[in-house]
Amino acid sequence: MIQFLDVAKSYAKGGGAAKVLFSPTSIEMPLDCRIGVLGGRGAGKTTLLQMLAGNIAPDRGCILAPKDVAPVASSGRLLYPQLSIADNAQFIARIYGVDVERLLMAMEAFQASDLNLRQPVRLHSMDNRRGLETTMITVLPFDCYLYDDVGHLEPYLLEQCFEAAYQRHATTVFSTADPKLVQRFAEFVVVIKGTGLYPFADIEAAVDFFKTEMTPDRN
Amino acid sequence: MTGADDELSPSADASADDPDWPLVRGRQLIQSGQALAAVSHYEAALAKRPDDPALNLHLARALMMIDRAGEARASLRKALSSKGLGPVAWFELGLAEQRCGRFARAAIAYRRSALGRPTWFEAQLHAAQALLALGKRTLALAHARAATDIRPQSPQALHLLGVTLALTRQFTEAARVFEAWSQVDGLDPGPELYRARALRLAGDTNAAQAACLKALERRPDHLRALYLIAKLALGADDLPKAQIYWHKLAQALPDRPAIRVQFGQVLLRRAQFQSAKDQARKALGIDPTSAPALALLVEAHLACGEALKARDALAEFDGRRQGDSGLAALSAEVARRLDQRVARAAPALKTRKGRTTTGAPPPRFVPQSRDATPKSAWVTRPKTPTYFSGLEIVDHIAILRALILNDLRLKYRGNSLGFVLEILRPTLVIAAHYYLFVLVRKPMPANLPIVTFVIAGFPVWFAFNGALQAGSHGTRSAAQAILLPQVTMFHVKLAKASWAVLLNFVFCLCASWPLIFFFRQDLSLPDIPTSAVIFILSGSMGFGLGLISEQMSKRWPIVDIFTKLLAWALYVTSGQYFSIMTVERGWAQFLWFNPLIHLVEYERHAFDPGYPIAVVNLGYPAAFAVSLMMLALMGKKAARRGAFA
Repeated sequence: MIQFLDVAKSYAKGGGAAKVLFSPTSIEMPLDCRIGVLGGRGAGKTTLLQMLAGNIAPDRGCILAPKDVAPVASSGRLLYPQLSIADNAQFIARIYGVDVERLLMAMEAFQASDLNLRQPVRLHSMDNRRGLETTMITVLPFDCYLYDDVGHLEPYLLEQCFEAAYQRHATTVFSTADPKLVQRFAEFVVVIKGTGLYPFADIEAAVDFFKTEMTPDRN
Repeated sequence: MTGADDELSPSADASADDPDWPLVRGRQLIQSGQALAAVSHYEAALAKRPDDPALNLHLARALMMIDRAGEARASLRKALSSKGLGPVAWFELGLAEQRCGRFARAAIAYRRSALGRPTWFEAQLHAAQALLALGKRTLALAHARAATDIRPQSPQALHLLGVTLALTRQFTEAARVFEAWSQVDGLDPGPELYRARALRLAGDTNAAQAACLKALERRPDHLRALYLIAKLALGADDLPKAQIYWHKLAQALPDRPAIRVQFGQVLLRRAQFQSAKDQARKALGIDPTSAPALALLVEAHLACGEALKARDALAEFDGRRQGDSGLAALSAEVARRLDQRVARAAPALKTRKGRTTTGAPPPRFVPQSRDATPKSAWVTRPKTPTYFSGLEIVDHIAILRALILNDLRLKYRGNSLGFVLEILRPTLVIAAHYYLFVLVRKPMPANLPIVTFVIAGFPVWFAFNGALQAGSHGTRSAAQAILLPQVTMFHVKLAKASWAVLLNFVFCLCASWPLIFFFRQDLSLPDIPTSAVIFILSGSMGFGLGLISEQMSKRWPIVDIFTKLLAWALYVTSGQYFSIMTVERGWAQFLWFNPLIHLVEYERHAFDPGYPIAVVNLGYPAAFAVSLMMLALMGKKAARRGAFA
């Protein structure tokens, strides 16, 4: 189980006021399935994934996640823009102790295309960077994969990512603002609404809940 | 004619008795447009002087004018068999051979002509063209270069040189030549298109796209440029741009099914399924037997979750064309989807506006069986050995190594001069101080050489300062690296501090080597274990101080300024410019409290065991380093609990 125990998070804004993202909430999510995080723009989807990855600490409470969590992929910020794909892959390979040649081969096999390995990442479009980053992380073995804002990814690539995670018996948590993607891919949904986190095992009920008018209760 | 000086030309004022008279008369006939009469005249003259090379040459020219190239060739060969004829005759033989379709012989003739007169542009150009046509690229390249050297602004020569370079796989140079051609022919889109192809083959896709855009600026309806830029955008996965150009191509060439299929593929990849289907149907309307168009239509239907429509499309069009393995796989996929299809009632969804919609949810993603993917294709990660599992030190060292190497790569990528400067900087500082000390004739305790005095002092300070900067500021690689859950900011800072310590330690060990081995100076090398301890202590002190400064400056920003002042004070009193043994006793008692002076003095002792260290003590900086590190780590822990918030 992935557990959020009494987790709260807020950000300091200019002028001393704080923007509350999550008021104290406790939820549970199953393992070895595809979990969709559904929320509007600025709702806190990325923060939720970064908290799961351990990059951001909650203000209170604690998060129990699988031990070997992948970095949050598809945000487009993981790769060094000034380095080439090969150099970025080398860095990731060194961090995770894998063979860089094998990593690059796996990436090419995963994307089913030849990558221009010497081209700096900054020359790629943002969507392309997201794709590369997602591929690079997905070909590495983790217990839990985190994909942020999957609406920017190509549908075929997204399917391949979920397929790979499924083959590895890994949990996948993806965030999106598009209910259709949740309907298509998710087996469990967490809706971010207001400052609350609402878990749903019934996908259609989650989408209905997300689409209904909400009372503005955000600070 | 060729524009070169003529050979064996008759003098214009020859009389009827003159031996040049037949040549003069022949020329007059040719000038009056009677080439056939000139041929008869030359033949008559040749009956009297059959071996006259000039007559044979002029006869050949006249024959070429009336398109009797075969006879002209024979005359030229006869003329060339006697001595006295040079490059022009060879060139004309080349023309005759070429007109007879004997390209290999033409190439030989042109080449002899070009070798006979290397400054003759036409000869070089024709030789290059003929050799290129024969596939002799290296020889062609030499002649094309020679032609371009003679006339650097000639579009013909630049075109030929660029093409030859591209054929010899020198794409970057070819692109430069095409650029020069483009500057000469400012309005022609051709050179830019050639340049774009060369750049694409050189791997510079962005520059190739820019060249295509230039070609399109010169002629907006240039289809080849449009096609190339569309392909380049697709190759670079720049789908929005690819969509624009394939759309333009489809508008310009509405009856080409292949273009429509390509456009449809781009639309499909951009999730514009309905438009992709439209393009596929249009392509099938033009060519109902097109397999790619049918595949596109089926894929678009499948992407929309319309397995039934995909089946219908296959049934409608597949009978009109031959079997295809790609379509067979698609048919199998359609069948699989139909099997898995779950009838789902469209739920009524309440939208924010309170309206009700009955949009069907997208088809559910169903993964394959867990044994479907071959596991041999996966990347595997090594597990930490069990005897290290408690310490996890191996993982941390690997992370530090990765961060150091990545930071170096980021810093010096495309700037190898920067790397040289990184090594040169301490050398220059030390050299400057060495000459300063020599100038003021600084007395050294125990007759320590000035070089050793300086080499032992500065690297210790550099290690301390580098670690201090790392502890208080981090590195440029922090932003991306800390997004990896396994990497913390502490790793990033520690990596930078470790690199600073390691670099200066190695510098300190190796700085004397060139002086000893190349300049034969009587210097000693330091004791490595002692130096290692000194550098570790120096780095630890700097790192600990940096961490404390960073944590405190979050709450009190003035701490940053205080740290800088403290660093300056530590530098001035760290014994770089003096030895604690040579200052007055009162000052020495005050300076003793700077832990760096202990390290510097011990490092000098490591170089020369005779150097006095009676008043310094390595235990003091060691205690200092441990205290600072413990304080820093406790501060970090407190900060995590929000103590400084």
